[in-house]
Amino acid sequence: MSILRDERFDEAYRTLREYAMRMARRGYVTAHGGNLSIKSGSTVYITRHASSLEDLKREDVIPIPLHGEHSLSLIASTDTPIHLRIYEETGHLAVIHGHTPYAIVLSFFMDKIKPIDAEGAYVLKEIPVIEGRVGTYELADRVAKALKKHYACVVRGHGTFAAEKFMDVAYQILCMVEHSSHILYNVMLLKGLGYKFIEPKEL
Amino acid sequence: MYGWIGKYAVVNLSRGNVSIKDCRLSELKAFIGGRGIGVKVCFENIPRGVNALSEDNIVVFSSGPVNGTMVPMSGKCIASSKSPLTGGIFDTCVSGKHSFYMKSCGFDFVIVKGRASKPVEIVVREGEIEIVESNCWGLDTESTIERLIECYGDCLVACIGPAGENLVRFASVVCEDGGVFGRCGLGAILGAKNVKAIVFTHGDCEVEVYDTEALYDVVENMMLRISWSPALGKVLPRFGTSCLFSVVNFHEALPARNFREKALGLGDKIGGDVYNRKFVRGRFSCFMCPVACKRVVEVDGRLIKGPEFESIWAIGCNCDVHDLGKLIEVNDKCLRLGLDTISFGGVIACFIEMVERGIVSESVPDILDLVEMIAYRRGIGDKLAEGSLRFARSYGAEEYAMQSKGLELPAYDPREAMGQALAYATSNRGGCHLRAYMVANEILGIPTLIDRKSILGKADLVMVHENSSAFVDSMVMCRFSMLEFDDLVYARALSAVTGIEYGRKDVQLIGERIWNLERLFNVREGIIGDSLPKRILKVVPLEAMLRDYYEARGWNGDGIPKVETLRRLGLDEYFKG
Repeated sequence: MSILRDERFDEAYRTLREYAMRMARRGYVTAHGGNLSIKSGSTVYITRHASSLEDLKREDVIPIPLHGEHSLSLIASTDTPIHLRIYEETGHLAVIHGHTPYAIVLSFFMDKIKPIDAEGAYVLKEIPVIEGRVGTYELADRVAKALKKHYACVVRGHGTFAAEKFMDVAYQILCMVEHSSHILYNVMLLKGLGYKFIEPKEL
Repeated sequence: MYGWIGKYAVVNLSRGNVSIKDCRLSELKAFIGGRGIGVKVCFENIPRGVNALSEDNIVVFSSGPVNGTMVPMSGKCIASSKSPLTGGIFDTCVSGKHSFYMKSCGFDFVIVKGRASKPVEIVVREGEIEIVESNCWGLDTESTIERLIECYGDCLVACIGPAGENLVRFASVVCEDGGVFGRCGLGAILGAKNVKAIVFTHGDCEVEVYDTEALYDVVENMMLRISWSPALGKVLPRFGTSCLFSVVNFHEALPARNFREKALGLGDKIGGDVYNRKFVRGRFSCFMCPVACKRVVEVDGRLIKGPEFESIWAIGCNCDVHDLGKLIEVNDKCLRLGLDTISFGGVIACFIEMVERGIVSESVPDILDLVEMIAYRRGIGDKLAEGSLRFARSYGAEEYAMQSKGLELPAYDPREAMGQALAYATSNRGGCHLRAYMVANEILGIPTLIDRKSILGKADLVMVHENSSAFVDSMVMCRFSMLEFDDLVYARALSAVTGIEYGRKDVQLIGERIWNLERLFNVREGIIGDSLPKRILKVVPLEAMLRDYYEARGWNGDGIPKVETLRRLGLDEYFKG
């Protein structure tokens, strides 16, 4: 039977399409950037290389095995090694990656982003910024290692990776990272302009 | 002259002499080399209506201006002629150092004319070409190559096997490392000329580059793009071309059993991942290529060149061979006897269907036996050696030949990708995926995935791909490079090498010129119109796409270039002819 007609495939497609669209609406991906995946058993359903997350098609969801190499990776996202490594290392079931603008901007100036807003500071605490070339196993190792201890990480100049048990939670974390980065960026800007910074006493 | 050597040779087998002539820069500038020069020389030297297997046919072995420079993915050589399978113009490409050696001997291209009275080898040496009596006639390609390398030392051999000697219409020409001039029956043409092999020795002529620094910049950029490319930098090196099996199958576009079924369940039996896991023992690359998509496989303790994706499909899916070990053996036998595996698969699939339908009252022999029966024209093999179209037509059952213009279709189901369907139909050499590799856009999603079932805009897209491909084949570079490079990259490389300014527009214009001259050749031979098998036309709205395509090309409703189109392309003289 064709993979495209498989029931699990159908569910995976619906989930990925929904969150891909949400991410695109928020401006977290450029026209054909970003990627996301979910794991089901020993299969990972990941978005296609250069697919448009604004309007994900069935053929834009590529099923690849969790372990071992598979030739379908020819058309899967360039970040596939990162997703697979995260699943292997963390036990998470959903991974999301966006080109979140404020997090990317901050990554050029920091080795870790420390949220100062209430929710970010409470949940995320800090977001490590790591280096690495897109699509390499080295970067995959570094991201997976970072996500063992943190909810999310930012690859310098590239974007945010978040992973969780559910896609909805992974997406929530991604949004939180960007929200916290946005706030931090603006606070730094106003501080730089000479405004007095008042640290919250009871956050 | 930069890039080009500036000389070519004409080998006249009937007279037993060789003449060396100067190339005209204006012609090289307009047709570049390889496929472009090939069609120009064929048009001017093959009289109308000539039997492709007669002494009046010619073969042109041609290099391109970037061969012998540091341009990556340029280890290719082109041969052009009139096909005994289609009756039309064709060119076929092989991987290896042949172009480099040919240029090092002082020739941009070599024309082979006439017919030798006895079997011969053509030996290309620096500044001269010898016609030597051959004692390899009757040998398979492996033994021939071994013997000739032993005899001539540092050389490259392109030889025919028994299939070529016996004028099988889809006989190939096989080179060392398993490189093959595969499609359209070049082997039979050489067999008809009594040429067992062409031997390219290594000379000392060097290719002069106009602007080395500019070329270095272009090459650096090319290498960077290759290394970053998911296809060229990651997947092809890791899995070889067999990775296409699962990708095409995922899109339900891998046909089976003479395009009667889909190959959906075959991935676990003969797919690229099983192939890589169980049989592949190593990989190797063509000359000047960092990709290394070729595979070495082990069968019964022997290490041999493994089948490419197209061959796996042609033998495995199309002929129902679901044992990978046997499939590899069949592929190897086709190589040794000198048969094109895609056409072989197409012919056998057609034969099996006709037997199953009761049209042919024969039993189907074992496929390994069929390779020999065809190569030596024994029993039913004699009829099958004529190709699927002639075979099916001889039983009044033309519709079961899955071909276009007489050339058997390759692995991508045209019913699943409308652009590829149009490309199969309009291809000047017949059922071929490489004239316009629409699979890149419609299945691989490179650079982006387009709606493969839509016909909107496909005509223009196919035309642009066809033009670019004709240009790249004339520079004589690997077609996989088109998965990453665009027209501008090729134009820059060519400008740096030759010192002649080429831009995007020139790439399209020159490609279009070549495409139109090929079409004119076919029209002159009475090959008019473009179509696909009845089975395919039940699904593909070809007529509608053809209307758009002919209009975009500036052709009339029969697919013949209009006078004003030929004038615009500087092809008036051919029209007058």
